[in-house]
Amino acid sequence: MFSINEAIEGWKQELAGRQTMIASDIEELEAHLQDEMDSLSIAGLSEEESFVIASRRIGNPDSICQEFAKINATVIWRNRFFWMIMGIVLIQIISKFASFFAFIGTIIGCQLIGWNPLIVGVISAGIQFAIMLWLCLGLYFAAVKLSVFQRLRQKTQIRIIIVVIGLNVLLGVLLNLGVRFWYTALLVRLGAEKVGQIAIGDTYKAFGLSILWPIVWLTLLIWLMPKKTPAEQRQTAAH
Amino acid sequence: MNLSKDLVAASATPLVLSILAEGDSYGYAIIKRAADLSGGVMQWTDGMLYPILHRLESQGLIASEVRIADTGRKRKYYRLNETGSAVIETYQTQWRTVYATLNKLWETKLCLA
Repeated sequence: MFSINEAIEGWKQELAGRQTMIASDIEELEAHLQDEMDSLSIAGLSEEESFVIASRRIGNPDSICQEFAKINATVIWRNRFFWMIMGIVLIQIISKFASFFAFIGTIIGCQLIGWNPLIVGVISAGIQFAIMLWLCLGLYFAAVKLSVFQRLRQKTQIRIIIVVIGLNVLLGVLLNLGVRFWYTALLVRLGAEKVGQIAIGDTYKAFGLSILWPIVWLTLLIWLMPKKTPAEQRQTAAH
Repeated sequence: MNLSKDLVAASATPLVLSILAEGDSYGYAIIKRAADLSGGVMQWTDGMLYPILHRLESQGLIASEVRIADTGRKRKYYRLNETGSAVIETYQTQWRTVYATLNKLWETKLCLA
């Protein structure tokens, strides 16, 4: 069964998906679509027919979005910049979170397997890497595949921003205060030797991750490299 | 008859501004007016008009405001301002010059034939 509301919603989603049109642009085009559909149905066409014709007259979403991209360049880059900053803040939160659990996990792991700087390094690097990878993948899925953030109302968006920044500050303060407290507690409970091994293990971890992360970033950057639209390709060819 | 893409693109701005000189209007009505005036020859892909309108607005030639239509739907109306009117005059001079120049050539040719 053809549902006119679903068809219009799908059409709007398609325009919004290219990220070059802002909400008011789409609203304006929708009003145009409705006007055109009204006049077509007065002429005797069915809802489905008038939708098909009206949307075709408005034009191919790709080329419309390209035209809007030229007009909205500032807005588009502002939006991209928003996500860059959001990304930095989220990565900070995730890595603080991950390093906390890596620390706890390492102590538990070493109590079970045995104490050795290499084991400390491998376990804590492994835990930290795994947690960060999974959280990043989850965020990617939520942000890109489901475009969760864009679907929220502005009030909710602002709340999320405040929560994210708050979490960043809170985790930072807690971890900085916590580290001093934990090391003292660990010295008392485990003794100087094991704490020393944790410290050496941390160096191994830092070394391992400093090689692992660039590989991950490289893979991600190549995978996500911005695709060129046909018009941009023609421009590059012309130069 | 089909106008070439370049010609349609070049004439879009003076056409839109001149239609707005008749009175405030919105995208759908501007397209209908252009089609009526030209007997259907001057037709854009509908969606392409809106980037033109937005560009003219950011250039400060027209202003927009949202009004509620009889149907209860929101509609964005555009209004020509003084700068826009002045620009129309420039366009008139340009297009008349082009037309007159070509015409002189074509009329001479006809006389010789």
